[in-house]
Amino acid sequence: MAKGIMQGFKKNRRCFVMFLLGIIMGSSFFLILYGQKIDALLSERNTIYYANNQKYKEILKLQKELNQLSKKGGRTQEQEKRVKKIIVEVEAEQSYITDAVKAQIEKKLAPFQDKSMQWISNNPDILELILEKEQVTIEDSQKTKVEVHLKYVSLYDETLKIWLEVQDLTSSEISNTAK
Amino acid sequence: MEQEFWGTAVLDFLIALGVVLGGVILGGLGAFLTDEYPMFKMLRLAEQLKIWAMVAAIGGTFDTIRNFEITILGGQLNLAFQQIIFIVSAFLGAHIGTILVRWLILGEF
Repeated sequence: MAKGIMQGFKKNRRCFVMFLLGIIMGSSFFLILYGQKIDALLSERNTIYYANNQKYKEILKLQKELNQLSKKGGRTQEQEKRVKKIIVEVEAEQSYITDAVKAQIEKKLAPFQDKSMQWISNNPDILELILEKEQVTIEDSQKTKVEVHLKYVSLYDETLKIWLEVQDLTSSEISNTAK
Repeated sequence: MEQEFWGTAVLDFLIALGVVLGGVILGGLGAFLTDEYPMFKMLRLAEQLKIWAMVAAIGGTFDTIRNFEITILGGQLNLAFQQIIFIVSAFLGAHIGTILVRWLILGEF
């Protein structure tokens, strides 16, 4: 087969050369006619490539930034301080009232354990809502009833410290009745 | 003798012109095939090929210089002058080729 092709070439040498010259002439005409257009298209393509490249770089940069920020956010979340200890200070006339109120209020504040310190400091009104004018009944012989008033709240070093003032309702009720 | 002189002059002119035009067009095709700007490449090639077209037309620099040496030292100033005419003719051919390419691409001479 190869021999046949070679013989065909040898027989039609002139045709082959003319064919090659035709290709060269044709492509030369094409180049002369459309050269400017090809240049413009190539230039446009390169501009698009450049713009695309710039956008890709921008995307990579933004992705990197996003990753950094998410890492940072995760770290801050991990490092976020939480309430580990709740201390209640009660100011009352009798010490047994102090102890009883303290115990009950501490029980009431138990859900605040392990809550974010920042969240509590941002929403101190929640503590006020829970504690202000809260009535506590002390399980003693007289069933003493006291009303709690929130005095101060402090958040420091994973500790929530609350100062309360107690008003004895039973004695005031008795005095009212006496009047 | 005179006819031969003019014949050689015209031949040099056309060879130089052909080298520039052919080189530029085929170089442009090559640029197109290799993903480069064809017109820009053609313009650059026209400038680069100018000197080589002259050299190709007059048959190599060393031959010409040798001819100069022989004719001047031999006292044949006529022949030396002829060589100069051939060089100028080749230069004109190459230069006209470059001008044509510039005109084709930039639309100015």
